[in-house]
Amino acid sequence: MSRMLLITALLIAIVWTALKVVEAKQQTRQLFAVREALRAEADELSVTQGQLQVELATFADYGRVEKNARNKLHMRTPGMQEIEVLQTE
Amino acid sequence: MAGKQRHNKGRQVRRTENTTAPRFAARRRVMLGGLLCAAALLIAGAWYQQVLRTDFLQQKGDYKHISYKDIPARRGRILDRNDEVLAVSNPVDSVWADPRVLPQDNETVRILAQVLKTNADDLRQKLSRYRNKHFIYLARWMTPADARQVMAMLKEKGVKGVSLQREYRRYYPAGEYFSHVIGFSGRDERGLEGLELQYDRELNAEAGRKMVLKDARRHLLANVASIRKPRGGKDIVLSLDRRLQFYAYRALKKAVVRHNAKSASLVMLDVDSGEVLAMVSQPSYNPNASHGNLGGKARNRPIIDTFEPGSTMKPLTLATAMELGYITEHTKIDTGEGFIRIGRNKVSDPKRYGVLDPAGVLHRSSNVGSATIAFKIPEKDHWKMLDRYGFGQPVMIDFPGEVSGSLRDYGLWSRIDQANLAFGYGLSTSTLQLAQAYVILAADGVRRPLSLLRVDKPVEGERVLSVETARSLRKMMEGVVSAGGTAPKAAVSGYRVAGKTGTVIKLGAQGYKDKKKKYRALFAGMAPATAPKLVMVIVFDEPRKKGFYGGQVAAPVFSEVMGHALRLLNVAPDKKQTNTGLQVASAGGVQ
Repeated sequence: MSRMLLITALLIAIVWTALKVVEAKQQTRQLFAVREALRAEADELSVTQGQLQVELATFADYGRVEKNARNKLHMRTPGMQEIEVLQTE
Repeated sequence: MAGKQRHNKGRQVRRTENTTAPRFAARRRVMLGGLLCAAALLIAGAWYQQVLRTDFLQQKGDYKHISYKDIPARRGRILDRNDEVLAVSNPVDSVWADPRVLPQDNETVRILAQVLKTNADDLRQKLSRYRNKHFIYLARWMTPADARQVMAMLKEKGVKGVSLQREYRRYYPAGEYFSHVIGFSGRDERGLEGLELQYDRELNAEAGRKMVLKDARRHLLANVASIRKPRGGKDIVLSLDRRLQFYAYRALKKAVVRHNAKSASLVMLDVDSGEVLAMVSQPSYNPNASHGNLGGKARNRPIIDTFEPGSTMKPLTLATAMELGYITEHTKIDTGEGFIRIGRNKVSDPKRYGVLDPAGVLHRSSNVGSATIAFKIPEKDHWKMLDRYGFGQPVMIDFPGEVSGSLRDYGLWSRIDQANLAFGYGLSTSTLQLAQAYVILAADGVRRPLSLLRVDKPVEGERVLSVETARSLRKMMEGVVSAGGTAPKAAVSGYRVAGKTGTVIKLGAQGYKDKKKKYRALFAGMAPATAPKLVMVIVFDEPRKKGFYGGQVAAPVFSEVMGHALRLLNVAPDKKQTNTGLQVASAGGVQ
């Protein structure tokens, strides 16, 4: 009798683990898909980063900054006489 | 016929009943044999499919599910010392078509032209010219976003046979003022010139490849195996400062145009670390444009071109004599009648300077004085010191095509050779080598290795001159930049500047005596003179307008660039002001 019980229990256990294996496999695939999507997004972002770097460098070009500072903001380089030098001890 | 059959049958049955049942042995054997044959065939077939054709069939099966994907990897960036981007690879998409699949009716061509924003007639011609090919580019190097849009529009209109190809393109945001140092890389992303070539191995990236499993709808299911790991390129950080480079480039370009010079080069070095802070050549080119037909424009002149340094050698001649104890600051040098004869040759000054001290020799730039001093030094020692300043040997700065210049062995010198060397003829040097020698004077006599890459740790140097010699030379060179010297235009307000001009006659068809002489204008200097932080050397080749003297052409560029650089690097002024800043500032406020 106890033998029958044991076999039944083992059978149930086998079916249960088999289902778990299926579930785990499914999860793996889902997570893999998520990871791939994230990787694609990372790629996308690195493309954007590169473009922004180029854009930043273009806008921050010293020729352009200087032109704007002089013409639009009417700035100029201070003469030596206008500069106060502080000595740090 | 039928009746007869039945009859026969009846007889047979009867016989069966009457006698023992027939055994049909032959039939059974035939049946068994047939079955065995069939089984054997099946087994053989299975064996054939499973064992002999397994690879082929496996492949067919995998073909449905397994595919290969490239894992993109990017070439390393090139950054300036403050981590500003000077070269970066960005992905771009090229649109290509298979002309044998792509329908070429008017409607399709019209849609294509509209989507790609090109001329329909040109496109039609292109397609018909390449109609037997498998691959043509319709548009190269679009941003990925634009390319996706194009593909979406084509899909919507039902145009087939057009695809995208991912490529990388190198961008140089700093454009032409860094082009000589950085160089450029080709379409295959391999370095072709400059530092892109020198550090190609470090910068280069290798795309990876992996095997993936896909389901029936081509969705990714899993990674099967990694075939090759992607290897991204390493970033390279330069010692150059983008701001200083910009100022240097702009000032040099302006001066080249103003004096109609053939070419020019400039080098700025950090005295304490031996780092190159700015390195500029003229003429320049845009590294982002096509690289065809650049000619000499691509050459990084400060490292690759050599020339005779002329009078800029004089401070080094004096330093040599002083270091070896042949002269002191107060030694009287008699320049006599303004010329001396050496065999058949004559060394002369533009006029008679009489008796000068070493400082006078420098700020008058007397050839006779320099030669007289050089004759006090034994040839071997003279050569040894020139060698220790770095002449005649490569700087070892890791740049493609670096030259060593030339310095003849003292065994081959005649007397006139030694005189010529004293004022910078008979040897050749690059702008960088000359700057390296001046750094020794600026760094109180210590020579350090130069670098185009950022140096983070202090570098060990080698002592070439004593502190006293270097300091007294600097003091003498300040005279050159004073009102009575040859280069008052090199002065920077607020700072003390030490330097030396050079105006060199270029070797022509008739030696140095061509009717129409060609010149080089040089200035080599440092600031602030009390404790120099920066050394800069500027060389103009053949200035042909508005003067040709080093003091006229090169000195103003020095003043402009050095002024900006000292201010940007927050170097404290070392020159006493006549007025105090505060008073003037408040006066300015009142106005």
